[in-house]
Amino acid sequence: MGQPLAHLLPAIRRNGLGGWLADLYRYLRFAALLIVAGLSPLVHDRATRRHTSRILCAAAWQPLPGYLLTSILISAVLTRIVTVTAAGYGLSHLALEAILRVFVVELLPLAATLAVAARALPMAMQQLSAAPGRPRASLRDALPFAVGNGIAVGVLAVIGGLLSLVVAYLVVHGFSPWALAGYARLIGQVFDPLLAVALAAKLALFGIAVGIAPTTVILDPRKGDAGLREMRVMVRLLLILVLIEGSFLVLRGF
Amino acid sequence: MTEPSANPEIPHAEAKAAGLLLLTLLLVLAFVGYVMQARGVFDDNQHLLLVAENAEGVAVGNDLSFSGFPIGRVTRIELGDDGKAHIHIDVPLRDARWLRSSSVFTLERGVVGGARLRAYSGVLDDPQLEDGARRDVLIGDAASGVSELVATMHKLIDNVARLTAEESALSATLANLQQFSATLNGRHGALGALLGNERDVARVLAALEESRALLVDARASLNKLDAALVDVKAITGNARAASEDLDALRAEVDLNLRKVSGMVDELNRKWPFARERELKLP
Repeated sequence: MGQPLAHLLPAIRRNGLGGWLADLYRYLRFAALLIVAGLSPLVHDRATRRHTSRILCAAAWQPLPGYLLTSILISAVLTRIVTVTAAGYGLSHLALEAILRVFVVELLPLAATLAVAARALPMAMQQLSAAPGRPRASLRDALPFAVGNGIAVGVLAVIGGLLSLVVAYLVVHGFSPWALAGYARLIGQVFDPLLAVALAAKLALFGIAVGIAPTTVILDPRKGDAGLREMRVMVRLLLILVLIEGSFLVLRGF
Repeated sequence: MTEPSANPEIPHAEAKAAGLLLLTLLLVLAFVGYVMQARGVFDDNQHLLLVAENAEGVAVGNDLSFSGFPIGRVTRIELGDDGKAHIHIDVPLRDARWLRSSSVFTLERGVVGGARLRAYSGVLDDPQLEDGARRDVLIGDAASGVSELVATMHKLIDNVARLTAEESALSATLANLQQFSATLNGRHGALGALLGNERDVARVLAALEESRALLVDARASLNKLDAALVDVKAITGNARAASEDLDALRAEVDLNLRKVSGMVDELNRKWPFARERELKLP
């Protein structure tokens, strides 16, 4: 079994299957420790809270205007395309539901995750990766990054999603208040308890992934090009996101 | 802890972070409340049980609409002990006034999209539908007509296939028509197509030739007749002139006779031995 895997994964080729499993265990243990630390109030002393605030601001506050503007633009364009296409096929009554289910529930959380990841990764590489003359960063150093980036995903996803709901209404109905009741009913139909729980779980998992994946740069070997190491962390993050999305798709099948 | 020196310098970072968290929390709470209100969690509801032959296409959360407006929501679907689909519906009390004891409920399935539950209340003066009422659903399925349509199409296609088969009457007719048109284009044209064989065609042609000869003879006879008629015309002209002369002669004779008669009368008056005709009474 080790031989075919060795062709697929360079880490196995380098360290063997046992070494790869040991590495995997190290990463998982690190992630588990970060999650436990993040949920422990005592760990969040004043300095950590201040650092977490700075990370959160860097990951969510600063990109918020650009992210919201992009969300508004894309949601307006997508809503227009979907409603016009649906009207062409006589399916206008399904257009808004499709927008809610596809864009707000599926695409926007992923977009928020990637937006935070794009800012979190260089920051983590710059501040957590080993450098000559700098001591190796500890779990405590990584905690503000994990918490701040994880929360940033939720913040961007929630604000962007709600704004997109408003934009979708305005694109379809304009400023008329008379369709609000029907729109509320539609939102109530789409966000049933199961979907709400699934969306919250997905956001939480995305947040954990984006929070923890960049900090694993601490565990990476010091040698090697910085760009290559950043790429490795990015691939790791994308792999985790794909696993999360795939899991939800499989669960939805049941 | 070693605090990294390259931290991003953001003024009032803690306040902004707290503001972001607070805003997000408020938005989430408001949205949850909005969704709960939209799903009718806070409404007082009246229960309605609809019984359908099948609940295909119906999902929990579907609307029950009246005049195009949603007035109720499917809360549960189950297979009843009677083998029929039981669709449980919650109708908010403010909308329950549209449902009357005489209301009719339909389940319509389009070709596209889910099923639609509709309520029709023809007589709004009827008593209001009681809580927990159970009603049967009339199913109108657009897709169910498809199977019937396919069966009809099959029949139609069979008929067309039978019509167009090689041994079919239509095929034989078409073959005859083709033969007819070929004969029309043949040596004897329409005559050959009508009579069908050479012998009859020859007989008809011979008869036509004889008729033509007869017509030539008839034309000659008619020419002679024309000449005779000219003579007759001249004779009648002479006769007319003679009769005119006779008229003049008769008039002259009449005149002479009147003169003779006058002369005789004159002689009778003047003649001495004229007999006395007058009677003299004593």
